[in-house]
Amino acid sequence: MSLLTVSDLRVHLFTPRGLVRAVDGVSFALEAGRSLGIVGESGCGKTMTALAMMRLIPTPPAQIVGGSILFDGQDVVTMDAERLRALRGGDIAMIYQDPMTTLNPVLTVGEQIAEAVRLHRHDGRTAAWARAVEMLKLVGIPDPARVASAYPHQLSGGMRQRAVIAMALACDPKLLIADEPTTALDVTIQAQILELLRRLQGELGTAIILITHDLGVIADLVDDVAVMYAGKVVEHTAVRTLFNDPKHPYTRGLLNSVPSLETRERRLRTIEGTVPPAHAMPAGCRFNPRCGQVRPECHDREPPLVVLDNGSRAACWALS
Amino acid sequence: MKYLMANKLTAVGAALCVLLIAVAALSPWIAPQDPLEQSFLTANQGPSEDHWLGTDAFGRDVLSRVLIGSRVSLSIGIIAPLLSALFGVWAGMIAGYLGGWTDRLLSRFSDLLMSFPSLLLGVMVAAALGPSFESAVIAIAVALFPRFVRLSRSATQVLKREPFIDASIASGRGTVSIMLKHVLPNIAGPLVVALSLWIATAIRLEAALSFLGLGAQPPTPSWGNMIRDGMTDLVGDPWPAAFAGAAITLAVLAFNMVGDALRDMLDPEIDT
Amino acid sequence: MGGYILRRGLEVIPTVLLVLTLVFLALRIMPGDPAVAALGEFATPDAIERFREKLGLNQPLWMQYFSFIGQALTADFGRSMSNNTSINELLAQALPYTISLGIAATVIGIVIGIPLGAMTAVHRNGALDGFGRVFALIGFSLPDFYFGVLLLLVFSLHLDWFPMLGGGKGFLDQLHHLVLPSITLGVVMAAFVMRLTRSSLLEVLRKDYVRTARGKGVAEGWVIFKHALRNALIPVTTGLGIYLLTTLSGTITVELVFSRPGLGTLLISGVSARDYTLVQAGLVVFAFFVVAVNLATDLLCAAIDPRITLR
Repeated sequence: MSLLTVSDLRVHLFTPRGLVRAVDGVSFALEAGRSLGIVGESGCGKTMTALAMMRLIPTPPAQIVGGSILFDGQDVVTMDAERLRALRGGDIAMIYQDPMTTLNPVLTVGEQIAEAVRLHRHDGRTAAWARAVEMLKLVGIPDPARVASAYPHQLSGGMRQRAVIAMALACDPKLLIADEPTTALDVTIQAQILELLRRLQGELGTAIILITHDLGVIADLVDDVAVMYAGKVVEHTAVRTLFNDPKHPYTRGLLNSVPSLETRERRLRTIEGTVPPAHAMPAGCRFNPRCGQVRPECHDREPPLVVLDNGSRAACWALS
Repeated sequence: MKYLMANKLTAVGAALCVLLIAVAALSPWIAPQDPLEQSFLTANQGPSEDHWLGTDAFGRDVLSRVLIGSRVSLSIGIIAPLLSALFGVWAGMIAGYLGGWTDRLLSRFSDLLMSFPSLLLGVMVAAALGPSFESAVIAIAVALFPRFVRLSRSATQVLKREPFIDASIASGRGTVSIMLKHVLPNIAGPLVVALSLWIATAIRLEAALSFLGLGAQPPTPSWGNMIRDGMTDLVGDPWPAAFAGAAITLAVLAFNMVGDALRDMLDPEIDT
Repeated sequence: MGGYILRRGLEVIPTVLLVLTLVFLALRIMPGDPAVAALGEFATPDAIERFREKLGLNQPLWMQYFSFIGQALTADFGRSMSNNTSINELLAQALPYTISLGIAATVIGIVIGIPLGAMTAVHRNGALDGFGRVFALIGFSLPDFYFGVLLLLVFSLHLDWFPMLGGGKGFLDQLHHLVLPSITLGVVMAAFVMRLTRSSLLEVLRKDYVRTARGKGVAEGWVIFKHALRNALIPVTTGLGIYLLTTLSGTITVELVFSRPGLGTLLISGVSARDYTLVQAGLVVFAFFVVAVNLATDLLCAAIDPRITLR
């Protein structure tokens, strides 16, 4: 049995302007200790998917309207509040996008880590505090004892993100979800945080879901990649296959827009057009207004995710 | 749904305001009796057919006094904020536009006034000028002055950075002309909201001042001094105080409702 | 933290001087001669001259100013013009009634306002929230002294649960006399505190760190109490500090309603008797309260918000 099996997950946003199908039938599975990247442009539903894993989506306006999320055989979608609390921060932990806003400004960094430890490992105050300091040391923070009693505003962005990682890993989660963990940081700090995640994954063997819009980030951090477009997974494959043999026209477009040292082209090629507004999705394949290989059936029916000859799964009429 | 509700409340509030002002204007004609006419035969009566809201200790008709009293309360309530706005808005625009020493001096002064509770400022002015209708107007205008300064100053500071102001300067427009043409229309929205909320504040302040005996002087009836007079015999005849207070509450409520609604319209994002 | 307290404490000095100057100027623009006002229009020029001399009104303005500041800072206000009693004695008798009223009203305002505001924010658009809306609208529109009159009518005159007038004699009686005046000011304050807490908490509940707390598995009650409310209280404290000044001036009218022999009653009696020295002293004491409340608010904010000390 897989650690995590997501089937046909649907998250709807009920906005004043109408219904938005933010996540529309997403399915994937993740084995223990393995890592999955979820890639896509902003607004494709990848953050909603990540938040749904811990039922953290903001309700209202968003709501899980269908599908199941089986974690260790238990469905997160229908779980009762007590079991959910044990899961959050215990079995599944999360690293968020902006370290400037994810830490509580009026509590010390150490207290915020120790709180999770007290909740899930049932340690006493002293033991939990010691664990917090130990975790800060593990994520490479110099002088961890001092930083533990500091307030978030006294730390830099990179240090805060390290503290958030320490908080996430403090209770030995089986699954770590990282939602754009480096987007809000400087380029040099980005590299350090990615390096840290890579090292910790090797040392602790935690399964990871990494959410990003940046293909460069996932290249040597994950085993598999799911590419999302407008609330759907359009291609799901091993990371090496993705870079060597991308199938879906959208994936190829994404790869073309990654700057590379080898290409001679001066101009970066981007995908033409923009993602259509959520309440005006085209019929058939949602990518059809921007696709170069569009066929008649693309306007009629949505393509299913099918297994291709190179082992990838992709949803495109041109490929099947 | 919520929008419709808000609209309905706005309509009710606005209608109340108009009604109150109309009553105040027409009160000498619609008041059933002379509000000053005393009669010891009918003193201290509860509501009856002859006196709908009863009579006070001097046998004066409470309904007539409440109606006539609205003139003092509403005229002070409206004149004082307008007077204050006249000076405060200009001071704020000048401070925000010129910056530097002028700004620092004006801001410091209005901060100082702001740190004083309005009623205390009112008592201070009334103590200095002696209790009267005029000193109540001045007292309330002084109390509201720093708020208008702040409002127009911060709005002006934001506007000053806009390119069209530079364009106006470049085209040779004078400072006063720029303020009239660009700054004033741009702060009109928040100003109207502030005015209606502060009319409510002013009505309440006027009532408090005349309750303390520092506003319009007897025998002229005002809602505040009716409560003051009523206090002398609350046991025997609670009606004048009760009805005058209800009138104050209604007037304050009406202007508050309109102000809140206008604010929501201007700034629908804020959930209060 | 110690440094911040010191710095903020030193800032009080210029504020106090400015406030005193304001009081001084306000009373010097008073039209007419305070001596004439005190002695009546038929006093002999000789008597008026002696009176002016006694009060120091014949001195140049700057000398009057310095002796006024000196008096205010040493809390030596001389004797009342109208009945020649020591003003310090009058103040000492009046102050406990005003201070106890202010504190009791604030406690009521906070104890009702903050929990009610938090509950209306958490159960937004529920039945309690609807009640809160109506409560706030009434609280914002009902003048406090009129509310006092209504309470007096119902609970003193009609039901006879509480004594009607005065300050009371002995501790229990005084407490009994404190109930209605402090409810008057406290309930009106609670309406304000409730709305402030509600909007502040609603804003905080949208913050990322609240999601972080939920993501750690913190129970919802603790998320609100420990993670959200403490942040929400920072703006509430600032707003409360401003509102406390309104309550402070509200004591003047409410003391009059309940004939409570406090500072407000003393000040107003001075104003109507045209007792220049008494009014001056009363205003100075109120001004000190204003400065003290502002200082206390800032220090309380610094205690809640660790970011403040660095600024």
